[in-house]
Amino acid sequence: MNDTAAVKLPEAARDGFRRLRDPAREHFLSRGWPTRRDEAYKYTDLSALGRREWPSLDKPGGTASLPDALGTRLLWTDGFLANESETLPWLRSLRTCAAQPAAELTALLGQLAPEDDPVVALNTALFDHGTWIRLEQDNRLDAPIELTYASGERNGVAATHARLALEIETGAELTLIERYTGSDSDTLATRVAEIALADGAKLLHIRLNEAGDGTRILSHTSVRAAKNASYRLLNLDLGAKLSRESVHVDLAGEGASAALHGLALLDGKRHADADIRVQHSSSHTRSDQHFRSVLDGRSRSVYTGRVVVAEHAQKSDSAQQSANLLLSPQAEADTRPQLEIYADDVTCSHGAATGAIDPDALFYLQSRGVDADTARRMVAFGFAADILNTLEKNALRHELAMLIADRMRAPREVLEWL
Amino acid sequence: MTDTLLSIKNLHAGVEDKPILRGIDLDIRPGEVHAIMGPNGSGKSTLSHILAGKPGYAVSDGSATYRGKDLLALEPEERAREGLFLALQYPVEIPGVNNVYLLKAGLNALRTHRGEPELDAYEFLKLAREKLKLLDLDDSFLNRGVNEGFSGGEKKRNEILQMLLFEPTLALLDETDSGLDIDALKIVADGVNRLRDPQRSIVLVTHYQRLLDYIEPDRVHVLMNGRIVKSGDAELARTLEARGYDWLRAEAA
Repeated sequence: MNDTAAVKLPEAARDGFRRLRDPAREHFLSRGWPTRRDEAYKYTDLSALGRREWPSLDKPGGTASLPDALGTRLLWTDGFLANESETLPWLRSLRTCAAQPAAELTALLGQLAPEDDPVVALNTALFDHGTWIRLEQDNRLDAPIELTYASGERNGVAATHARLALEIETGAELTLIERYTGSDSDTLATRVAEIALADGAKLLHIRLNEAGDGTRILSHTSVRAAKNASYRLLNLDLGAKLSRESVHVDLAGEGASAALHGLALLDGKRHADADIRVQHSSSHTRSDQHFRSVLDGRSRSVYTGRVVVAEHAQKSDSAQQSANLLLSPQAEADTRPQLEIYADDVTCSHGAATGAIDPDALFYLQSRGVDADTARRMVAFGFAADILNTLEKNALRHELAMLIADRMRAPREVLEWL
Repeated sequence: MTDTLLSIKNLHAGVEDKPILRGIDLDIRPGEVHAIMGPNGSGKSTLSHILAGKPGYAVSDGSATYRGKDLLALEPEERAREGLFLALQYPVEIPGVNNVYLLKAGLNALRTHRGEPELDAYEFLKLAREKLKLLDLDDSFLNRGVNEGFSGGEKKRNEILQMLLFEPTLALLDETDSGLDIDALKIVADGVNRLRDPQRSIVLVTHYQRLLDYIEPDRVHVLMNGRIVKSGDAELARTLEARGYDWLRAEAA
């Protein structure tokens, strides 16, 4: 067990969420930071975080230079929203809701995320900013929303704890981008999302980690999909010192589906962990997981894909695949597919592959006049960009392809044709 | 001999300790079409790979001089830019890299090397469409991943498409005819014949005489056990078709 005396937390806000916060705080204090003895954290040791203190700031650091927005942007710097009044009828800043939370909000908060998870408990005890979105029936939004979590320009350390409560009503549709970016300042960013999709609701959720070198991201997403609802996640880890995203999807209603795709593009000593669990609770549910990584330097990617098919979830279909491209002999990719099937009439598949760049592919490109270094970057980019095939061919996909190409120093021209 | 495009002298090469080529001598002059024939395992593909610079082979003796340069000292991309083109027997699939991007990047690398201006997207597409038509391919062919999910015949036609675009000085076709049905074979042969030019040389590496019904070679060489055991004109290919390789085995021994 952990040395509980060592676990310290700042005081929680005395706001309208206290009934949620108090037990979470108690739970975290009694169990402490996760260690490698916790199965879910086997490859991402967070115990070092517990040896430090993580204060929240009274005011944000200076605004860092930011990449262009991919949609309507709400910007938090070190946990502070640039403009608190910048809200829409269906989108509110949680800070403005904290004094007297609406019944619809309290009905969702803390209902989906597993409070026994230490990161969820920590966030619930301390979340101080975030978003409440409630998209009403049949409201299909074309333009994406971008929630931007930025580290400010500052010298000291900061902890930020963001929460997202998202409810999409029957037949409504949304594209939501959550983006981590900003300075290289010393930062701990936790973020918990609880997402309820009503019958036929659709969400395309893009988690874009472009955080600075001093940021550790600990995030969790819980999704409940009702009948024929569709949840699509594209998880792009391009930055941060350490990133861990756990995603729990409950395909609760008949015909619900989840497509969970991810790409970790890491260099240096970066570490990215994607821990995915999909629960098929109803019949005719479908899930598809596809995670890739391109690893340079001494970086490390972890992907755990767990699929549980309940006894009555007949005619369900699940597929999992992962592929890792190692650009350096010191890089490491860990892949763990896990299947638990209690129904007898289901289709489940999985596959995994890890390797270096195919020398035959390099020779082929060189024999067409392309120099070796460009050829290497072309092959790696092609491997990485494959993950974008999950998206419709539109401007957003093009922007994401450009971000990936720039990270990989792939020839920009490669995109002319995408 | 000053007008020799490629001159191979006493070339010995192999993989690790296993010798494959045991002394190849071959001169190719501009405008000539040569066929290199031979049974499986005779070293035909090894020869074309070594000329194009594929890694994994060790040259233990001999030389290859191309346009007055030591060919074997050049990187594969330098050879390509100097006008050497190898159509592979097994073209490689490169998922996620657009076919059109590779074609344009390759062509512009060649043009830059020749001191010609690069083609922009519009000019390139216009040219590519002309060549696609010759090969009976539609535009969608350009926007697929390089050889990704292509049928065997499509892969071979993609090689010929590249050759038509790059207009090489020396084209090596490594068993381009294998696995093609008769219609595809005619299309490929037609593409090669279009490239015949007094300044351009073509080497057809093939197991069968079939391709030579459509592309008449100037010279035919038989490669066996790492050596050229017989050279002749197009008539030699017809003799091989009728008699096989065994009589040469006896003659070479």
